[in-house]
Amino acid sequence: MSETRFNELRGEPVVYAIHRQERTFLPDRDHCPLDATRPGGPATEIPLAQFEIVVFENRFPAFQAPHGAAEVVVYTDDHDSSLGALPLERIEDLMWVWRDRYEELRARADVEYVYIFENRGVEVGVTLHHPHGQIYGYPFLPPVAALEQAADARLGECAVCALLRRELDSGRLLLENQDVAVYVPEAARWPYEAHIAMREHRRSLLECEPRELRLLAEALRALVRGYDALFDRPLPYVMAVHQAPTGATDGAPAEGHLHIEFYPPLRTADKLKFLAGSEQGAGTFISDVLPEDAAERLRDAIARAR
Amino acid sequence: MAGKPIAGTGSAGGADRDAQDAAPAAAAERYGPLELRRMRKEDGRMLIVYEHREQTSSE
Repeated sequence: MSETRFNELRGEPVVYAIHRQERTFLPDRDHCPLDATRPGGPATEIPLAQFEIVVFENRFPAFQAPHGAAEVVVYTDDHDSSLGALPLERIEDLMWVWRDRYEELRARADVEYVYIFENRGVEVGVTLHHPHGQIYGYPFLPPVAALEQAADARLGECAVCALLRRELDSGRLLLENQDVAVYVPEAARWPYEAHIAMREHRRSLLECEPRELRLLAEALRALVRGYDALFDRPLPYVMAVHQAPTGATDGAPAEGHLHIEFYPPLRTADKLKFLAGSEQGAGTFISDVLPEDAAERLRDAIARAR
Repeated sequence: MAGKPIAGTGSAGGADRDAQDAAPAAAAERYGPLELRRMRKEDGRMLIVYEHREQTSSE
């Protein structure tokens, strides 16, 4: 069981999940716990000979009932695939899986915030290469979600709606369709950070029409494929799906605006952007890449990857 | 594609040692274009299997 303490100087919770030290770490190709279980082979986490998408409770959870949730979302039984390499239909199905999990977890009294994410690449701490994401059900409102709510209050409206209006007329738009826009934000913290936002104000996947989920999947696929074309290598990233908090708000639905943020840690094909003195000790990102330049390079990469 | 549970698979120890076969699946549910089956692993953890199922005009 994890323990949560409050760091007064930072004004943020810190979770101690010491059992996670024992989690499986970069197993060899033949012992991936996220592979299908092959007849005659060792049992994996998934007792099926083949599968499309599977979700299960993490064996090494950062959170677990009655104090939250930690789930693993396996995108495919193809160990060597990736989110961007999946057929569009599978990514669209993944949107529905995310939607289903959000709907179920938001109903739990011990979950205040449902956070869907993917860590890709050893550069961001991946311990299993098989294509997968995770879902944390936080038993509290995490700081980033609280900051987005503070941005809403500061701007006097939904911050994502307000920023999206600016981005549509900027030189940082990467692609758009009827329901979704993809852009490098004006004040990106990571060199090739990009955001995918629903054009209409949708608090969560639950408010999206099927067509919006399909077009979200299209945009997601195009961006991730573009990322891999950027430096002609699988690009490591953290993918963060932000939706409305699910905790009690005196009966009113919590505000939020469904969008997906990508934080790739590379600043060149072989150089990492490290979180060092200024970022860690002063909370100020120093970036080597202007968002407008990043957007131009990413647009080219997305066009090459189509 | 219909995945079938594999019964009686061996465990190789290490990372696989605690992997468990799942209990028999409950009846399939529908969610959008998906069919899903909820299972419990032998250690009690939830496992959900999602499969694409084409919508038909009668649905």
